[in-house]
Amino acid sequence: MRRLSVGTATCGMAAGAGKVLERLQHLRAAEGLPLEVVETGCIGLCYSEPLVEVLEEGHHVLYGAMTPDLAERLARGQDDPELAARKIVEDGGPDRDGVLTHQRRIALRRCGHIDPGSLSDYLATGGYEALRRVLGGMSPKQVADSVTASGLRGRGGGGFPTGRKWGLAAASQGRHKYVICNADEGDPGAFMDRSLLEGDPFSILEGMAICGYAIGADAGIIYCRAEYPKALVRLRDAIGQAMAAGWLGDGILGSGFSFHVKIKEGAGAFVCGEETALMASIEGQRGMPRFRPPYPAVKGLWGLPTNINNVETLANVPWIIVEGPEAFAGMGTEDSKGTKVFALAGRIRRGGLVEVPMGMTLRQLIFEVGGGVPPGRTFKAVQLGGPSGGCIPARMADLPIDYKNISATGAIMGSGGMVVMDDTTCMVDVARYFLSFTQAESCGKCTFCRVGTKRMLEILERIVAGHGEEADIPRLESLARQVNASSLCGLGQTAPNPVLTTLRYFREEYEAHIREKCCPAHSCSALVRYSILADRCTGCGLCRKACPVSAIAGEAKAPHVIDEAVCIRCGKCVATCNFDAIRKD
Amino acid sequence: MALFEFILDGVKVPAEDGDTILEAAARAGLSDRIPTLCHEPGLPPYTSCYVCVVEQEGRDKLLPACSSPAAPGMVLFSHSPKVVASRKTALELLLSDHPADCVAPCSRGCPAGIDVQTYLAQARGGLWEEAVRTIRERNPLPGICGRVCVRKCEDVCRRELLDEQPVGINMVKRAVADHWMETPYAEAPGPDTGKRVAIVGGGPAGLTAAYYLRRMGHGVTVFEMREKLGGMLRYGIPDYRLPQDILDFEIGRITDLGVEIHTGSRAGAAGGPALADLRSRFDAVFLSVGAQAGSPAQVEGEDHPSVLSGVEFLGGVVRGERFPVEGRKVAVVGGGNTAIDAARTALRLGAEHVTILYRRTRAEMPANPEEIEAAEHEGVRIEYLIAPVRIAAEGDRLQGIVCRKMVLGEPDASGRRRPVPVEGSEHLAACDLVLAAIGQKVDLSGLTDGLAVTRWGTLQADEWSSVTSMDGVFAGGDGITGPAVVIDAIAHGRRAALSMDQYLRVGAPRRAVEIFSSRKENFGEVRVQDLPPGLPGRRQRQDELPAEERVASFDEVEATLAEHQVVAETARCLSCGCAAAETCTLRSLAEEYGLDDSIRGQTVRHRLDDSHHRITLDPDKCILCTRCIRTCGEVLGIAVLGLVNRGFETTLSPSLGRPLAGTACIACGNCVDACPTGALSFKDPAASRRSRGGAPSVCTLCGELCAVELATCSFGLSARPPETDGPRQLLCELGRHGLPELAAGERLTRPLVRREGRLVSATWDEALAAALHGLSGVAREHGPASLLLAGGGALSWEEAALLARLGREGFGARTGSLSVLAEEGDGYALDGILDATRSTASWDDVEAASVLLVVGEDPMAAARLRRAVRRGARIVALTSAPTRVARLAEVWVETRRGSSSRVLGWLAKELVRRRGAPEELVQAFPDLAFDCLLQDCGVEPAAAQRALEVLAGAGGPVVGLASLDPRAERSPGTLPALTGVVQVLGGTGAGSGLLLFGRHANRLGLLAAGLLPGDGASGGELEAAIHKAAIRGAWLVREDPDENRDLAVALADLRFLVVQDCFLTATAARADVVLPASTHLEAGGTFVRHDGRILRALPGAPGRVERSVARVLAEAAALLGLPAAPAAGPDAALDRLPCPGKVGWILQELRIGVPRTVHGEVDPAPRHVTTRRTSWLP
Repeated sequence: MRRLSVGTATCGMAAGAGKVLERLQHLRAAEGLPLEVVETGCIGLCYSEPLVEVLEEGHHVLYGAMTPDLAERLARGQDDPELAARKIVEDGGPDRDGVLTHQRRIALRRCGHIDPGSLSDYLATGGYEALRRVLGGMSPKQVADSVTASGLRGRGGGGFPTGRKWGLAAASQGRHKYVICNADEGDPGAFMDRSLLEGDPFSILEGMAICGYAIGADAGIIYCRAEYPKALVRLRDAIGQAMAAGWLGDGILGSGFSFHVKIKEGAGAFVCGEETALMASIEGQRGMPRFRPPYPAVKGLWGLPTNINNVETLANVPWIIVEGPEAFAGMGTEDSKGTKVFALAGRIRRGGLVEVPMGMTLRQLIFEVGGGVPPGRTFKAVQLGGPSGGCIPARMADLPIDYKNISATGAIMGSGGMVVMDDTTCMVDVARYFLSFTQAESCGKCTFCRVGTKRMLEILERIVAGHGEEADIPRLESLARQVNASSLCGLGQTAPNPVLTTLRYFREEYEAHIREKCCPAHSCSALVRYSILADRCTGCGLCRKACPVSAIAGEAKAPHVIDEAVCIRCGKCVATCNFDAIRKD
Repeated sequence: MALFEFILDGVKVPAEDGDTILEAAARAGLSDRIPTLCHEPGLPPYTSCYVCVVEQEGRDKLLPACSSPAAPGMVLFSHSPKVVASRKTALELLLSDHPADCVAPCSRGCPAGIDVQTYLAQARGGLWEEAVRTIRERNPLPGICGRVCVRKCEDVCRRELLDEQPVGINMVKRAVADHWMETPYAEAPGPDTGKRVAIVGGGPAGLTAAYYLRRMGHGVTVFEMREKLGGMLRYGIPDYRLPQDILDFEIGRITDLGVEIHTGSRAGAAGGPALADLRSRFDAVFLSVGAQAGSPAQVEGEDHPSVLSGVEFLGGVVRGERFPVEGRKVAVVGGGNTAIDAARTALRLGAEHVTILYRRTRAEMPANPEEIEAAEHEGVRIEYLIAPVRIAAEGDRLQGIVCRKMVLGEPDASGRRRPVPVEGSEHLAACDLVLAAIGQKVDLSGLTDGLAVTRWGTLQADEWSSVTSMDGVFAGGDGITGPAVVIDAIAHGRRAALSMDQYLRVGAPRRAVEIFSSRKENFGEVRVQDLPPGLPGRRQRQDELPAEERVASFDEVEATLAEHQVVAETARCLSCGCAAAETCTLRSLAEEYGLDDSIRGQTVRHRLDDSHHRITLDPDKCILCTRCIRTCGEVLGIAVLGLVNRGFETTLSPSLGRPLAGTACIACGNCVDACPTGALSFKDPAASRRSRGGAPSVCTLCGELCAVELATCSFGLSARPPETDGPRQLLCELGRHGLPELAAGERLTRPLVRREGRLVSATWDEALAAALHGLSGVAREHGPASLLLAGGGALSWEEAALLARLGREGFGARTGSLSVLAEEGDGYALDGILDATRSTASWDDVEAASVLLVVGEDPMAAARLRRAVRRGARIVALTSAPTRVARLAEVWVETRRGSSSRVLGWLAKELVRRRGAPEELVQAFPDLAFDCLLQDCGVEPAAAQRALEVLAGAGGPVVGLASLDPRAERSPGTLPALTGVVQVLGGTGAGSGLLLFGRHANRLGLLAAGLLPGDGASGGELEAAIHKAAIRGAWLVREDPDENRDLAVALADLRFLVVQDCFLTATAARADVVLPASTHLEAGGTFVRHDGRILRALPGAPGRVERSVARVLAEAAALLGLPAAPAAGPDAALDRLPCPGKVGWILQELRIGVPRTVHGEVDPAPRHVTTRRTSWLP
């Protein structure tokens, strides 16, 4: 029987996987086609969703950019050039675009391959082998030591050595202890955790249980944002199945170890990804961070020792236990071991989710894996680490990715959000955009974060609007440094990073905005001018019709002109002109 | 606890494990070095303001001192350049989102900086003397200014935005000043400094300087060239605007301070002293010579005898000179106030026609619009756009002025449009007299020797320090500015006085500086919606004489506002200035770190929440430190306030942005105490003036006996919790607002005696004699035991002791306290167990206890219990409702009302069983089967079981708490049962006991003073005697048994009743003699709190009653022939009493000490409750 797996993670659904799935199910149910139709998670090739994998007699073929009609042809076993062109990878060989070839998938090892709603799929792919081994003869200390030996560092952004964190929590005394899975992924453009939760929820539960055993906790809480409905459904389902099968609950596998997991839905405040704010939110208080120390390992949720790990971190744990810490430590660099998942977005041809070994260079990741920037454009910079991160310029693209190298640039590894920028991106505007995000997401507690970022944002808004003054740059820089130095939590401390890195690498763009009142990337609408090149204009009138404010005038077949006073700089004329006759500067 | 040291600014600071840097620094007395806005002592660190940052050697990031743990050997700097820069930025950021005023615009607009808002509020509250004192802090001539001021304050008054008319500030000032004229208060010069100042010129600047210099104790001699003091006030302003008697009064108040005056003495001229002479004879010289000379009109022929200057004319009229005006035509040239004054004066002197010629239009006219209007009303004609060209005369006879028409051209340097002559428009305006009032100038003749002069012919002097080019010579007023207005001269005079004072004391003049003030205008135009909601009301008008009456005399045209008008006008004030202006930490830090007021940025504007009856919430002033939120939530457990919205829009508000009124707020005001700015303030201006210090006193309005400080400000008395470095002391609404009401309410001040059935006034001696006579009669007839001398719980220990002595030794009567009796209505429950029904544990024990067993509820107690919980205490609460304590408790045993004794009995018996304690401790309690708990008492068995577990598992002291208030939730037998539980568990160690709080404040004090029957069940005996009608006569001090029905009925039919009370209570109303009583607020006294702690109140409120309670009681004792201290008054009588300050004495008398162990042996040592708050001990 032919088995068709449809990628129905949120990215697939957004691209139309729902209709594909519906068509296939209809074919099976109504026409009785001999099909097995299953759902699977995200394999990371978001640029060519919806994806359908066909498995027939041990033979796998993955097709991209599917439509219901194409999928029907697949279901009917047809083969034609159109389908062939959409074939991405066959039987684990090299893929068409080279996206998968360069990856090393550990955290994402099951995503897109198994049915995330099926415990048996999980077990069939080696699931719960790690927990079985842990409970079957490892002491809690051995477990923590293994994780320490693997060199795994927190994947949520901080990069704190996971094994050491576990050791601290294990050493703390308390009536209870907690394991919290931080699934409050909030960076704009980042979706690593969501894909993991949607594509392989059991591995998170397994990772939490192993952590619970290592630190002596009997309760786990997954703090997941309510905006991830699909992940929440998958998690609830997985917890139910694991409880029923005895992988969670009291006396797991007949051992003395009990572990229960609950889900706490977050209301979507970005700062609740910060561990102390996250705990305050679980406790029912306003999600605001507090000063550390005391660290959660000593005094965490409800004042009890608590270990908080991010989703991706926990997903790596079972693999490390099964394959051994040396295998994990064998990948990566001196400073950073293993692999890292990145969400590629922005001006890149093949956006999606990729997992690569630490130590790969930015250039390899962007060009070999991601296919580079769109044709005709120049790679300019990459923003790493979300709104708390920084912009690394193209000239530093040969930097091997690891925690140390990235920090040295002024950016941070963060949770793995990676936004690629080309020559059409204004770096001042990028800083403004990211700061507007952190500014809006500040919890409002600390003076520097609440008011300081607001004042920084006002300066940036002034600059992109063409009202910047010479003193704005030193003012911005000084404020940025003080906000960084005098904020309580990571949000405030890192909020100035986009500003500081763009000032460091792209200062001339700021100066151009202020001194020449021009935007070198021609991106800031207040600073661009549109004009029609008379020698190219054929007077076709398309731009005149497209202009929403009737700023373009001209006789038919005669060069048109733009009235700058009326123009709102929307750029629609440029998009409609077939003769490249409109100049933007 | 490991002890270690770290270094702060080179000073070794001892610290222990767990200390934050701030805590350790504060304990070492170094809290001044580390400012903070958000830290609330006693609560966990919050860390939001980032003002407390310090720099650690070798560390890049700054440390917030409030939350960073101190570590051994760390080297810290509290004022390194980096720290100062960061603090400054933090303050700048906070102030950039602080669209609020420190000082009201009117005060800022006034050159003299008068605190307008305060005196308006004082006038509104009838505090006339305080209002005039407020004005005279800045302006010693309120009645004069109240009539002639140009009112720069009203120009900027925000009320204008609301209903187009500013508050009539100046009218109120005038009313206040007139009130002062009727009831002037005594004022004394400052202690003599031996320094002497010469003042040249007795106008407003000179007089003002003289006033403040005298107040500061410097000698003053004024040299005035004219015959009287007053300068242009007297010789430039006509009587119908400023009557001579006002001038004489206000000048008199200044000269009364002892000013040497030389009139008719022009310095620098013949017959007057030379400047050098003054300089050598005096320690300093102030030149306030004014601008006295009229400027020439600069037209041809102006030296004609019928052409006079305006000032010459006005001054001549005052001096009684005669001018040929009657029936003539008068032309006045000019457009200022002098022109108008000259014109209106000419009318009053009988001129037939008066015409003002002005070369611009009315819009440019510098005179006050009201004056112009009044002049027109009276018949003055004003011709605009007319300029004189030359005087036309035939010999001595004036024909008139040849004039030219003008049109307005381009604006000139003054911003006004320049008049341009119209060619060929010359014409003759016929008149008999010309008054040229086109300006005045400074006449410095004879004074310029060695002094720098400006090119405008004025003295060169610094406007802020009044320093001239000559050492020791100062100058101010019109003489340095050229002709200006009165209030400018007054402002100069005061600044000069302050400058000279500093010069005289330390040798360097003082430059007046403005301290930091935030202002709303910096955040954009102030709109109506940014204003607090004002009370409606149109501007009042001063009554005026009808125009036809005015011109017939020099009587004052305008009348002073009536009192009701003052109330109406002052109610229009929007109180723009901040109540916390003097105490705001944000403002003082802004000043300290040298911020200016130009800090601005986008802000989120909020509405002021005025809904609450006591407290105003202005979120615009909030810096989100959440001290109020945490005080309300974590200390008091009420949680009215919280944060709404996020990020930059975060706002302090009750939940869901609702108004403060209608929340669970108990109006205790502790949030206001916690607020470092003025975001929360009291509506009562006396309470909102938060300044440090005050007389220590106690609140006697309930049994908590909270410590308070009494402070008097210009709005009256306020009571507030004492300032401490540690956790905040609390006070409830009753204490905060009730004590000032007790001090300032409608008190009895005159003794009353019943004659022919009615209470009538009597002298103290008459009333006292009547009282003693009446009571002695009853004693003779019915025996001394038929007399009762009783005092209420508000009496101090001293008063109670005097009353007890009077009763026992003077009359041989019974003594007691009816209010305490009413409180102990359930049978002296513990008298048989503990010798008296009283506490055996203190609040300190509560805070250190391991388990607390609480019956009933009390909001302030809940706050203290919360503190105990934070320190790890576990609470078991027995209440019938989910009260605050119940919510705080680890185990809430919900009992049916009235069944707590049975539940406690069950607990005690179970505990005896579990812990193997002797059965006899619990024999008295009825048996109750576990199964019956639910049925009989409504208690969930699971809750009872958990309570039992917590109690049985107590690893340390156990304290049982209950209220003695008869209204509290309690059933007969509750107290013995509670005592039983505590006794069973008491073996766990010292610190266990009972804490009983009652409604009546000084219950233990009365006991210690011997007023209460004491020792066993004699309280019950008194009650029985009352009910058997064995009491026939009584002297009740601050007792109102009519509040208690049983007692009132039993005491309704007395033969003779003396009541000594603060107010005419229901009981007092039926007394035979009523004596006014003092309170401890005025008289002070000693109080013993229910936990044995001794509190001493010092007098802190002005006395309202001629004879204090203590004095009356001592006098009565003397009249009864009790031996008094030889030739001594009541003070000596007090002295002879055992010293209340000896803690041991009281404790011994009370025999405080509970059997500590229950296994046969009793701890023989009496329990020593030491008072840790030593500052409260005498």
